[in-house]
Parts: sequence; structure tokens; C-alpha cells
Amino acid sequence: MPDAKTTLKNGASLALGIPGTKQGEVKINSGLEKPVNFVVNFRVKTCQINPGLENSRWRLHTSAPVQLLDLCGWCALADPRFVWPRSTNLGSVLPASAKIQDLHVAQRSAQFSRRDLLNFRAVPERSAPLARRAGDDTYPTLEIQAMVDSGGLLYEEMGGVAQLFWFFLLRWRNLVTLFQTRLKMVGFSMQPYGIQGMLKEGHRHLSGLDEAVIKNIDACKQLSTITRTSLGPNGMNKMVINHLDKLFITNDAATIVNELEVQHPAAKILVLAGKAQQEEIGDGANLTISFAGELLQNAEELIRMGLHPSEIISGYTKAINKSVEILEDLVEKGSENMNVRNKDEVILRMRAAVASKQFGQEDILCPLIAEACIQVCPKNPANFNVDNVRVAKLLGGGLHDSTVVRGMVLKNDAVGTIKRMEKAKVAVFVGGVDTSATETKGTVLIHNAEQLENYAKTEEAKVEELIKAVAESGAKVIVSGAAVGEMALHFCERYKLMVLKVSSKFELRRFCRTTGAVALLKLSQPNPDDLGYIDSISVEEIGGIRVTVVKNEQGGNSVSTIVLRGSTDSILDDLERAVDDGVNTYKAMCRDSRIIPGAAATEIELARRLKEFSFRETGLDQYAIAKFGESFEMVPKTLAENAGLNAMEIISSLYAENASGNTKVGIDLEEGVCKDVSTMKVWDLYITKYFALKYAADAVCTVLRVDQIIMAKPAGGPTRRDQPAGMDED
Amino acid sequence: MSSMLQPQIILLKEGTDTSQGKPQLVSNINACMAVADVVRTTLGPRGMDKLIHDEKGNTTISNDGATIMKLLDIVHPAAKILVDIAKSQDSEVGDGTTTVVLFAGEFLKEAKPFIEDGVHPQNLIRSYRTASQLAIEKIKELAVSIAGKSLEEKKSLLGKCAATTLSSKLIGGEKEFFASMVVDAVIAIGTDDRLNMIGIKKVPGGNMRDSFLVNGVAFKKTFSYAGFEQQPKKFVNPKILLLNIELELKSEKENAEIRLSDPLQYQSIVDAEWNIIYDKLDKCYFADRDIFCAGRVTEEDLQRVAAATGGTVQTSVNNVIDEVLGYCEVFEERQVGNERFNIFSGCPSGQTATIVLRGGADQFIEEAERSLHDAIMIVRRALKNSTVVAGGGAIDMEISRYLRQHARTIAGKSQLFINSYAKALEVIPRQLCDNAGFDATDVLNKLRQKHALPSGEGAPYGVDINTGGIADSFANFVWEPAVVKINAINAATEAACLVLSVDETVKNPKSESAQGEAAASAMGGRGRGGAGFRGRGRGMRRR
Repeated sequence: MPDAKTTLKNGASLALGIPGTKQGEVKINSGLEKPVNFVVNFRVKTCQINPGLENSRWRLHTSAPVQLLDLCGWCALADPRFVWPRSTNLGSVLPASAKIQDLHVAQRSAQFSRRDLLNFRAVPERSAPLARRAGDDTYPTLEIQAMVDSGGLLYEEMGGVAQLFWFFLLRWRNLVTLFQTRLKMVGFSMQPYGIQGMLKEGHRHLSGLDEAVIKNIDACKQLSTITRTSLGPNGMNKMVINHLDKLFITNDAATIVNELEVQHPAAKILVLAGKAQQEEIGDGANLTISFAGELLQNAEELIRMGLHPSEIISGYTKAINKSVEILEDLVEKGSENMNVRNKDEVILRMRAAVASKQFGQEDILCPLIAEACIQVCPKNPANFNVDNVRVAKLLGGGLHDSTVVRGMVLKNDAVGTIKRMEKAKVAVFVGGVDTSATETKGTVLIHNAEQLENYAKTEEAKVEELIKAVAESGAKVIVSGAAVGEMALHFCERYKLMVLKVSSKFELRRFCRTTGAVALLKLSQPNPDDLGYIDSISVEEIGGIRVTVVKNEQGGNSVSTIVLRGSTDSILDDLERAVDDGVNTYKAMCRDSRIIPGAAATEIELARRLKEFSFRETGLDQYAIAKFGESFEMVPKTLAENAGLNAMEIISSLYAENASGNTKVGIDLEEGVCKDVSTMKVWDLYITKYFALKYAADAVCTVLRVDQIIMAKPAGGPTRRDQPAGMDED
Repeated sequence: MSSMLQPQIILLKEGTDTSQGKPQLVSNINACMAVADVVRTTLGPRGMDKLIHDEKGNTTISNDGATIMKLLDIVHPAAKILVDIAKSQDSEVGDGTTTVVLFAGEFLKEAKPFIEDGVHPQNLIRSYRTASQLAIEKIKELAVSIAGKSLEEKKSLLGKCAATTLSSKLIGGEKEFFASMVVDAVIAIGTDDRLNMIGIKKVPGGNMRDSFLVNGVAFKKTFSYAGFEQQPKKFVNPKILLLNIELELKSEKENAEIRLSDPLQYQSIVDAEWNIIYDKLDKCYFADRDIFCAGRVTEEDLQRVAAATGGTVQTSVNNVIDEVLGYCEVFEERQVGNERFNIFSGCPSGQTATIVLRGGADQFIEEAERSLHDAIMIVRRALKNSTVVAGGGAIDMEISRYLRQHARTIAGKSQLFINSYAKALEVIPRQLCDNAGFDATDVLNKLRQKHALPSGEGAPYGVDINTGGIADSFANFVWEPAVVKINAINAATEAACLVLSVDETVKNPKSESAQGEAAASAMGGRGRGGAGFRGRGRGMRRR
């Protein structure tokens, strides 16, 4: 263990004099990516040298992987024996004086990248004889107590803001670090002990309540504070710029945590819980993460109170089971039977989910989503496939201009000059519409003049024959999965066939689903059964983009498209996420249509009943259950805070209403009062809430169960330079 | 390794930037305002142009908001939103790009003091959304429909719209001339309007008035084949064949190979090749058969000719039937400036039009082209939506008045926010005055007084750019399509709300290329360090 160690305010850490090693070191962590010029000044407070060695001369070495251009320190010393030669990196001579008050070492103009080690070691001038003479108990030791005077970057190298920052930092005289250097001159090396000895060098090991559990909780809390402010209809957006420089502006927690690239292992568990929710239901990821964060925060309080994590876990487990029971109890009567093809019923259940993403626009979005979903809902609603509701984002206009198309909207133009067709049969070819070439490279051998003359003609004739065959089969529209040859196009035009190119394989499959066509591999005469049918296909210009709108109103069409309009790409992306949530909610309600009151009414009721429940428990876990209940307050609190309302007032009046038996009272964010949710029509799906709470509780218990973290040294990679293990074998 | 024992909580990847809370919101607003300030001065007939010099050395002179925004190369994530809305306005409406950026900037500017005072952004957003809906309804109510008018009348009305747009551009001096040209072009392409059916050809030299409209297609004389001089230069009622293959001596498919066993056959092969060429030529008679031929016409022009003449583009010269041929009344080759132009006019299907633009410097013509594009878009939109409103800031003042009036009926904070929204709308007349050098306060007060008249007769009053006073914009034919304003207000409000709704920015470190560089330099550093050690006599142990 280091004798003394501290962290500079700027992130530079210093550690000197580890016993068992022969040198002290200054570790510099500039926190910057590029190598920088770094100044470290330190002042030596005391300097002790074992008796008997007072008169020896010391040579100070520095092993910084850098040039020490100016070791101007030690200058305050009058002692002539103590010379720091200028501009040398080989070392210098230390005096044997017992007291050095103003030892001053400056490291200047050295190129450090982040986390370079600057090692010092002192070697007696004539170390070998001295050591022999001194014997075992008088190792030549030099003990230096020094303090970091100042540390900073040379600031010519930095930008304006950084300069200012460092200017203050250099003034930070009080930034005192005591460090001790003890230099034992006879080499003996100590084996690492304990777990250190067991594992490979470079691993990280954290254990115990303070180091592991509390730290984990802290990390999770940090994550949930990020997502929390996005909860609910008035949630704020986050601007996330990911590693590819793509900008996301969203309040969708699943997207945020996905793009955040969370590194902390415990926080990752929360992220995974959020993702599980997103995959299972497609909505409520924010509730999962924020609620888990709140549970962990309360767990920390319990730990500080003295509860053991295992007691908290057992309490939380009891509480979640009880919550699920209460949740069942709160289900609105008669909601378990719904007609998934009734638009009003669908909108009722979808409203809250969409409103939480696009508040104020749910009245426009919900009918669109509901209509699109109902259109493609199969006979057995449980088989509803979210992939069948497509979204086409077209820049320009406003949300009011959005529409639903029963069919597809392809973002490209038709190939030929024929741009519209109605009530036509469609032939789909995967392999492209062109003369077929062989896979292996072949050469056509021409033997005589006749063949040469006919070469081009026969090719033309062949293509014509193929296209003619397609046209004769009754198809009016050809869809190609690959390139359309010029010659082929020529004949398509001649036979009045509309040609469309769909290069994406998936789009082509959806196209087949839309039209009921069977994709053919080769250009040949299609079987009448393989032809699809469309009501209309036309190329339209929407907001400056040419799109092909394929409509098929007939039965059998299983794809519908929501055309979204908005003024910026970010808005469109966010609208798309809202639509995705809506569609996922539809899928969830096809599975389980039960609803519970939204707008925090359910949470308050859960909180109230859990508290009552906790009083009946005998063990220590009653504290945990009570805290679990309290955690539910996070939802109304956040909703109110995000809407700019007074959270405490709202919560207390919610409690009052609930206690008087009205369990359906939630927050009306528009007016900032408490109201019955059935008048506001804010209903959440039971299944969404169920999974969100379950995943959150599971994640929390997982995080709490951890008492040790052992991280292996990350493999390879030139980015981590603080472990030059294996480098010293030269 | 000592620091390893006391790990700091590193939640996110190293190098991740986060900023949150009020200060970052204010800084986002500031960034957007800075962008709006750049384009501010380009608004209106007296707006100034910007000269943008990019790193490639290209110079662009423009006062088209979208063009400037695109060329500015903005990296600030919040300010990028403004670029997006300018683009959106450009693609949806085609004009009013400066307006939309100004609106968004002004909305945010008005919001800033509230944010600083601690108002929750969501409250602002809600009020802004309500205000924008009210504003749009009001515009729809005030708009005057031009549907159902006769063609002549419609033409003159559309001309007014085009003139309003053009007056704010570089070619404002000739706005009547160009306005009628634009209207004719748009009317010519008919209902099935496709923008690329209007071609704009630029010929440096001459003056603006030499520009002309071809009711058909025109393109610069293309590749000349041998015998071109003998070809006639003018036809009346010609048939036109469109081909997209080369009419040259060219070897057959590359993958065909000829192997001969008998040397006698060689001559027959050569003959055969010639036969193929003759065959081709037989079908397309050139100079000696009094046929004009233009080769290597660009794809776009070819499509336009096809649309204009009713022909279809052929890939083969075999089996050319009558119905694939196109017709037009007159074809001629004419001298324009120092270029020769091939012009097809009097086309039967008449779905195309070409504007040949003349003028001095290259940049000037470029800007003129952009201006015409805006005007064309405006006319198209006006034709499609058939409603117009008074320009010159009149409609903005009227909505502003309406919103202020409406705000008084609201109790609560929302009143303040809607009021400031209304104030933000006044930026258009204010900026018009500022750019023209008038006393904005004075003019604005006159306008406010007019608009506040209870009879409502002051509603069409806007800034009179000629006298520096106020005038009835509607009577002066300063008109713009309602859809321009509706879309501008919609987009600007959405953008402002989006910026206001952000409370945290997280910037992840760049991956791939960026990291590759860092890794490379780290490797280099290490290599140097290692070499340095060895040079020092004895190996230093680096612990």
C-alpha cells in the first residue's frame, strides 16, 4: 500500500515511495487524450538519510519515458554537494544533509501522455561498497517527505478555456499532497500477497460494502438520474451524440441508454433490464431504469442504517410479489375483454404510451397508429407482427400532414417512364431484370461471320422474348430486386410495363407480402399464381422527395405504412420511436388487454398498500418493504417535477385521495391538479407495468447481491498505457 | 497500480462529454441565436447577400437562407436543427428559408429570459405549441383563395406571388420579367408537375433581359459528329427518335471472342463488322439524308425531350416503330451568346419548359438560378394550395396582434409565453425595416396601430419597402402563398420546442477513425520512449 497518496484536483494522481520497491514515482494523469507538456513542482519537506551515510553523495535518477529538459529543482539548497545538473536526464547528486527544507523539483517541458509514470530513484554514488559496509539493518535509505507544490500543463500548448483552467490550478497552492519517498537501496522484491498473488497482474479487485456495493449503487443512481428527467409526458429530451457522430434527440430511455455506452458493470445490469423491457413490451423502459435507480438509492439508505444486503434483497423480493398481487387487484374491471379491431378501444390503451413520448401530439398520432395496426391485424391477434407496420419518414410539412397508407411507401422512383398503374398484376423478380449472365466467366466463341452479325440481334430477340412472356402473363408491373438492364427496360417500355427497383431484400419480401406475389428467381414467364395484385401504384412527390406509393386495399395485404412528416430529421426519428412504442403497445394489448389507472395513480396506491403491508412483517425486512413502497413515489414526484409542479403537494394530495378510497386518482399534468384518471382517459397496460416492475426489482436484487468485483486486465489494445507490465524485460 | 485500488466511478466511457441543466439549455439557445444572426440580414427585398468561401475555394454569393445554412457547415448539435428546418422548408415549400430560421431564432431568444428565470421548459413548449396552432388557424382564415379563377386571372395572381419572392433576390430589379416567365413555365408543365421537367440553362454573357423561356426543351449543342456541318439546322414538324446507345463503330460485347481456323474467313468477319455498322446507320440517316443528330445528350435532357415530344427512349435501333417516335412543331439550332443551342418548341404533350438564363458573372447566374428555383417552387405551391396572404410582414403583424389579443383571455403563466411568441413574430417586419435602413420602431408602431383598428381594415398593412412607411400589401400585390407561412411557423415552432426540450447533452467519444489515430500516436509514443531508454547506457526498469 502506498504511504501517502492523493489525487490532484485536476485528476493527476501522485504516489510516491511504495515500500518494497526501489523508487518513488509520480503518476501523472492529465486526463487528456494527447500528450501534453506537464509541470510538476514539488517541495520536499524533510529528507532523512540513515545515519552513517551522511557524507555520501547521491545520484538522483529519473526514469520518465521522456526528456527532462530542466531539472531546476533543489536550487534553493546551498549545499554544494547537492547539484542538479541542468539538462540531463541521467540523474543528479543529492546531498547527504539531514534537513532539506526547500527541495524543489521542477519537471518542465516534458512530453507526457496521460498516465505516464515519472520515476525517481536515488542511488548512492558508490553504492556497492557502502551497502556492504553498512550491513543489513542500515540499508542506504533516503526518506523524502515532499509535497506537491503545483502541477499543471504548460499552457502555451492549450486552448483558451483550458489555459484559464490551468491558470487557476497553478494558483492552487493549497493543494497539498504529502508523499513520502523511501528508497531502499538494496534490491529485494516482495511478492504480492493475498488475492493479488493469485491473479494475473493488471486485474482490478473491489470488495466489501463500501467499495463494491455502495459504489455499484452510486453508478446505478447516476444512470437513473440521466433517464429520470425523461420520464412521463413532460419529460425532457436528451441530446446524445454517439460514437459515429449521429445526433439523437429523444426522451426514449431505451434509445438513450443504448447510445450512452455505459461502462460500469453494475449500471450495465440496469441497462440490460431496460433493454429486456424494450424487447418484451417495447415500452416502459424508462420506468424500469428509473424505478430500479430509486430502489437502489433507498437500498443505500438501508445499508447505512445497518441492514445487510441479503435482508434488503429478501424484503424487496417480498415487496415485488406483493406489488404484483396489488397490481392484479387494481386492474380495471371489464377491461380484459377487448376487441382489438375497435379503434376507440385501441386508442384508449395506446394513448398514455404515445403521450409519454410525444406529449400534445398523441391525438394526432394515436388514430394513425391504431388505424395502421388494425389494418394489418391477423385473424388471430396474438400473431400480430410489429414488422408489418412500417414507417416512412419524409422531411417537410408537419405532423398534421401524416397519413396511413394501406400498402407500402418506397423511397425511390420508378425506373422507366411509366409512373402510375392501377389495378394491376405484379411480377416480382429477385435476380434482376436483365440478360442473365453465367456465374463463371465465360467467353462467347464466334466462328464465322454469320454468327457475328447475329450476335447482337439474337441477344435483343432473347430479351424481347422474355419481357414479352412476362407481359403476356398479365403482369403490368415488374419489380426487380437488382439492376434493370437497359435493353430489358427498353422492351418493358415497349410492352407498357412499369418497372420498379427494390434493392433491399427485406423491402422486397415486404413487397411480396403486400401484394401477395411470389418472388421469382429468374426472369421468365411467371405462373399466374405467382403474380401479385395491387390496387394502385404511383410515383408521387412528397416534400421534394419522390416516393412510390403502393396501395393494396384488398384482403390478404399484411403491410401498412405510416407516412410521417416533420421538419427535421431528429423530430422524425423521435416520432418514429413514438410510433414504435405505440405499435408495440398494440402488440402487448393483443396478448393481454387488461388496463390499470395511469398518471401515477397506480404507483401511489402501490406505495400506500405496501407500507401497510410492511407493518405486518416481523423481520428486519419490513424496513426494506417500506422503502420499496416509498420508491413508488418516485413516479408521481418525477411526473410533477418534469411538469414544473410542486411535487410534495401533489404527492400528499394523491395520498389523501387514495386513502379516502378513490384509487383512480392521478395527476392531471395540464392543470396541475389531481383528477380521476377515468375522466382524463389515462390508462396504462397492466402487462407493461407488470414487466417494468418485475425487471426493475430483478435488476436491483442482482446489483445488491454483488459484494466483490474482480475485473481482469483488459486484453491488449494500445489505449491503456498505465500497466507497462512485461515491458521491462529489455 | 495504487490508483486501481480506489476506483472512481466511471459510468460512461472515458472521453464522454456530458453537460446538463439550465446552462447547457441556455448555451444551446445562444448557439441557435448566433446562427439566426448570420442569416438575419438577408431577409427581404433590401436584404444583403453573403459571400461564402469554402475550403475548396468555391465562392458562392447568395441570400437564399437554405443555401447559406447548407454552406455554413455547422457542427453544434443544437444549431444543426436550424439547418434541418431550413432544408425542410426548402424541400417542402422552396422559399421562406430565411424566415423559418429567423422565427426559430427569435422564439428561442424570447424563451431565454424565461428559462433563466427558472420557468420549466415544458410550460413554454406547451404554450408555444398552442400559439403556433392558433397562428396557423388564423393564417388559414385570412388567406385568400385563388381557386376557380380563369387562367388569365390566375396567371396574374401567380405572377404577384413570384414577384414577391423575386423582389428579395438579386434579380429583384427584373422581377416582373422573370415572374411572368416563371409562371408560364409552371403553367406549361401542367398538373402532373415534376420539378425536373423545368430545365434552367445558364449561359454567361448578355444581360438578364436576354433570358428567354422555351416552351419545350433546349440544351447546349452536344457532341458533333462528322458531317455535322451539312446537317440542316431547322425543321418544321420533325419526327424525333431518342436513343440511349452509341451510334458509333464499336466492337460487340467484350466477352465475345472470335476464333478462326481458316484465314480465308478473316475477310468475311471484317465485312460482317462493317455490315453491322451499316445496318445501324441504315436505320438512322444522318447528314446526307437530311437528318439532324445530337449525340451524348445528358440523361436529364433526354428524359425531358422524351416527356416533351411524347417519344420513348430506345435502346436498340432495330424495330423502330412509329409510336416510339416523338413530334414537335419546330426544331432549330440557335446561337445564344457564344453557345449554340438545340431547341425543341411547340411540343404536343407540353409537359416541359426550359428557361435559358443570361447574365454577367458566373456567381450571378448561379444565384439567379437559385432565385428562379425559389420562385418556381412558390408558384407551384400557390397553384397547388391556391391560397395567398399579404406579404411584407403584414400577415406576421396580424397574427402577432391576434395572439396578443388571445393571450389576454388566458389566466396564468401561459399568457406571458404566448405574448412573447407574438412578439417574436414581429421579427419579420422589424428585420425588413432594419435591412432597408428604416427606423424599425417607428414603422412597427405605425403597423401596430393599423392592425389594432377594431374594424380590421388594417389587417393587410405591411412595411412599404419603397417609401419607408407602411402600405396595404395586399393592394400593392405583395403576396405570398399561405403555405409558406404555415410551414415556416410550424417548422420553426417544432425546432424551437425541440431545442427547449433538451436538458442534457451526452457526447460519446468518436470511434473507428478517431480512435485509430489516437492508437497510432500512442504506439508511436511508446516506440520513441522505448528507443530512448536503450540509448541511456543501462536499461531503466519501469516497474
